[in-house]
Amino acid sequence: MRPKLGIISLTCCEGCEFAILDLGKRFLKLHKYFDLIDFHLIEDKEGPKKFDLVFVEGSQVTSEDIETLKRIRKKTKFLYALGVCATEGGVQKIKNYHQEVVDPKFVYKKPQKLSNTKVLPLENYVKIDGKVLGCPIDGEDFLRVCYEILAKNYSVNLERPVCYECQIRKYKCLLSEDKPCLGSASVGGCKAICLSGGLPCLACRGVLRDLNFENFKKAILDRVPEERFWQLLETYGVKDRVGKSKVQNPNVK
Amino acid sequence: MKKLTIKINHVDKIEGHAGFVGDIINGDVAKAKFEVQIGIRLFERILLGRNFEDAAIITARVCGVCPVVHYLTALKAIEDALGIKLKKEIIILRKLLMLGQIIQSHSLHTYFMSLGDFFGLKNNLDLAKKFPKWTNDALAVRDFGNELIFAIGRRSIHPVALRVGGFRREPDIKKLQKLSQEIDEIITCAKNLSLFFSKLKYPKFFRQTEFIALTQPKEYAIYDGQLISSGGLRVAARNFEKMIYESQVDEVNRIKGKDNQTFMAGALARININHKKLNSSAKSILKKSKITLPSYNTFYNIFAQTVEIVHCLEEAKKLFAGCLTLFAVAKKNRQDNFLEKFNTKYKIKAGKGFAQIEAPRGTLYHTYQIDKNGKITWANIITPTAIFINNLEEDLKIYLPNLKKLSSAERERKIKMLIRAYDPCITCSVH
Repeated sequence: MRPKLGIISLTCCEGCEFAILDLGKRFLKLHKYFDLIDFHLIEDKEGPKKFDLVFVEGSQVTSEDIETLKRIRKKTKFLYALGVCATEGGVQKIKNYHQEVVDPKFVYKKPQKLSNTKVLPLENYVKIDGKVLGCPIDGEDFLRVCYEILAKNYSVNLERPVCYECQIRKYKCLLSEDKPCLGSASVGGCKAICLSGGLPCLACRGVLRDLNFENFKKAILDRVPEERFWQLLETYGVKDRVGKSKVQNPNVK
Repeated sequence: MKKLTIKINHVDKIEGHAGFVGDIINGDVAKAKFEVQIGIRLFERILLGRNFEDAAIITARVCGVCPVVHYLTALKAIEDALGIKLKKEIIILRKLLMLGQIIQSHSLHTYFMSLGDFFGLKNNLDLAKKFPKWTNDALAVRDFGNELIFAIGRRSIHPVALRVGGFRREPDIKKLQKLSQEIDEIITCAKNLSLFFSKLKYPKFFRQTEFIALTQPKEYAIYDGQLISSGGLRVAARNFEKMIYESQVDEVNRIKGKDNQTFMAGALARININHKKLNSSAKSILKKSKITLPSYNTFYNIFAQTVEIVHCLEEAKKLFAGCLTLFAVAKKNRQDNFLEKFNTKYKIKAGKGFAQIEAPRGTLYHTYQIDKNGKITWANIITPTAIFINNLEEDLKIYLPNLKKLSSAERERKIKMLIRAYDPCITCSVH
């Protein structure tokens, strides 16, 4: 029996699913080794009773989201959080930090029956076995996890700052141009893709575990006011990860 | 009283989660409701207090299938607020980026999400087995769109290289040149695909409605234009909100016109309004198909998308020719950021900006107000799906009685097919 692979999305932009679809032929090849299920973008049948590996993208905003997540957890052997919405909360988590202004009544004239819970990483609701990082994810990381599970050979993600990947590619250092780049504090693996486009890093892969937060903060505050510093950390919802010693490691158990 | 309730819990193969509930009582449709099943993310509010440059970065995350359109519309609206005029070269590159987006999104929707419906293929991967050549062609076309986005935006999902006033980094010129060499081959693939789609058997359907799209005097409007409707509406972006009213159903602020009319937006609407400005091959495919325009059969939206793919590729070819000067500058100028001199310099000031763009699924509208420090103080986004969702329900009300005699599975298939023909994007509509 081929292992059953599911990809499920909660509330999000579904960009990570497209990152997977964009693998094109390499994605189709995955069908040789897996039964692909509940990938709602291309297939239209209900999922089976048991899964071997499920990727969950998005964050829980509606009560159905939480139910789906808990139901899937019971059905599957491995559950991976896919993309920053699942691992940290993503852009929709910004509202957590500004409850006073981010109220549905400002977007909807008469907000009726809208579920608007705080956005939290999925690991706050269920046990997760690993993470695929990024906003959006790199399709390669997804493939790697799939084949590792298949081979029962679980690698450990090395934590290296974005700066490392940026500098080996000889991109211009934005910090040296006085732009508030979070690369020095952020988990790499992204091939510094934002930096290739000149966009300062916004820590979509989370912050380093052994970060010297005070030094990092000082370096950014030399460039922008403190309010902006915290705003940047809020972008993908990593603000509550910094300044604490224990940050979840994106490792497979 | 004979009551028939039709319930579809999950309409698959659309972007986002949605269902459908319909009631037919004594042969009359009492209810036809398209149910959105996705949480609210409150984009318009999370932007408040943030820097104006964040608008594009954050709103791109509204949608993973069409991030480029949100990215560009946000930039355009902010540039409008700051009174920035872009240079010709920058606009060419942005238009190319936009074409890449439409090619990518349409080829995914027409081939990988809709085609299976016509052959009763449940699993779209069976398509690859049944039509290996078409699948390869469709993949090639989609890859081309993706690579075009990647070359200019430096990432195909959620691009990074653009900023207010121009570009942060120049495009990958080598890649653009390579793409400009491959484009004839891709146009052939797209033409064949479109001809193939023109011969499919589309279900019969007719309901007169009002089409809405941007228009331009000399070109097929995508990146810019004025909004008009087949009902005689003509409105500048800054007055758009005054011409419509919003009502909340589920999580979506749906749009209707002032006369309570519903609007159809997207490829079919654009073709109906702007078909005279299509490029030559696209035009000839449309002519060969013998469809009478304007077409009121929503199912033809799928075919219209394939025509647009051809048009966009032809347009890209034209624009590549316009890029030659840029390529020459790039070659002469070995330094990294040769594009910098094409960027427009600006000063931050308070203001309100509006912008519209023809996204793959229809007209997208963004508006922002910023204060003198460049902080966003107001934002509103109206997406294509929010515009046409009422129209979709009206269509379903007309369509349902035709399906009474079918088996429930067949009925469900047809309903899903009509919904899919619209190419609704639920993640966009709930933002």
